[in-house]
Amino acid sequence: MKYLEQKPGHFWWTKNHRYTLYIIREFSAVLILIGLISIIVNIVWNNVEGTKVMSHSAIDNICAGIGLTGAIIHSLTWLWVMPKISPIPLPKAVQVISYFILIIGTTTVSILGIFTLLNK
Amino acid sequence: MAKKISLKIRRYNPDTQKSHLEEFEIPEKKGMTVLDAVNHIKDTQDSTLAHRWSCRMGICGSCGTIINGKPALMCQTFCEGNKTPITVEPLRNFPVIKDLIVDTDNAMEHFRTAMPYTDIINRHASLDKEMIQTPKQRKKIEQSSQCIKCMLCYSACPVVGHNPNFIGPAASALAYRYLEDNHDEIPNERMDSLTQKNGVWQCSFIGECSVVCPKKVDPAIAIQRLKTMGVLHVTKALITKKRKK
Repeated sequence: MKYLEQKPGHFWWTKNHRYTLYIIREFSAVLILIGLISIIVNIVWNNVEGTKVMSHSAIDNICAGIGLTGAIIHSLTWLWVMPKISPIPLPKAVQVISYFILIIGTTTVSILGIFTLLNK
Repeated sequence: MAKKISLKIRRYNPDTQKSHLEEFEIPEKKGMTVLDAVNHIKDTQDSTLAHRWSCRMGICGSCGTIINGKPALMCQTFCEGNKTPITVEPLRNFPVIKDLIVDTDNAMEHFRTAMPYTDIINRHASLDKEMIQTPKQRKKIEQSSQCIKCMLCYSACPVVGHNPNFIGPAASALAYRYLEDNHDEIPNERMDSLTQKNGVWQCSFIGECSVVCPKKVDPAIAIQRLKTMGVLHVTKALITKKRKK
C-alpha cells in the first residue's frame, strides 16, 4: 500500500490571485536589482572612462524604468502589509485608511527629498 | 422530477496506486451540504468511497477537503450556489492514503514545536492558589484559541507544500495563543523552539492560511507577531549571552 505524494506543481502560483500577487511582490525585487545593476555598471564605467556625467542611453533609461517599476510595486505591496501586522489589532477600515495615509506620506516625503536634493 | 447535482470526486486506490476523477449524480435536496452529498454517494452508490467526517457542524475539523479548488470543510459548504459539477479532492500538501483521506501525522508533529501547555504543574510546588484569568486576559487569547486543527491552512500554504518541515500556520497560531496566555510559565523555551531553522522565519506572509480558516483564527497575523517577538527574544538572548561572558 503506497500513499500518493502531493507536491505543488511548477505553476502553483497561478491557482489563486493571492498566490499570483505574492509572486509579483517577490519578483519586484528582481526588477529593482536590474535597475541597481544598471546604476552600478554606470558608476564603474564612469570611473574607468574618467567621466563625471551619468550615461542616459536607451538601455540605461529602460533599466532605470524597470527598477522604478519594481520599487513602486514593492513599496505598494509592503505598505499594504504594514497596517495588517500592527502590534495593536486594527479594524479592516482603519487598515485600508492607514494604507492610503502611508502611500501619501511616503510619496510626499520622497518628492520633498528629491526637490531638496535638486535645489542644492 | 427531482433536480440532480453532479459531483466529481478524486479517487485514489493505494493497492493499484491509480488516481482518477469519478463523477456521481445524486438528487438535490434543499440545504444539502457537500458532506451530505458525499455521504449519500457512499450510502447509495459506492460504499468504497473513503472520507473522514464526524460532527457535521464545523467543530471537529475532520472533513477538510479541496472543494472547487479551495480548501474548505465539507459540512460547512452548501451544494447550492457552488459551480457544478462540484469537484471534491483531498487536501493538498499531504500524502493521500485513500480517496479523500490524507496523512496529517507530519503536520500534527509540528504542534509539539509550539509547546502547547502552560507547564504550571511542573513550575509550582503546590496548586493551593487560584490561577486567575480576567475576562480581558481571556479575550487576548480568544481568537487564537478557536483552532479546530482542520489542516485547511496547511493545505493552503505554499511554503508547507515546498517544505514539509515548516512549523506551519496552525502550530504557530497555537504557540501564539500560549505565549499570550497569562498562565504561561515557559515563554523563553517556546520562543527558542519557534526561532529554529524551520520555525516562523520560513513564513512569506502570503496570507492564504487566514483566508481559508473556517474559525477566523488569522494564523498569518499570529506568525508575523511571533516574528517580532522572535527578533526581540533572539536579540535579548544575544545581549544576555554577551553580558554573561
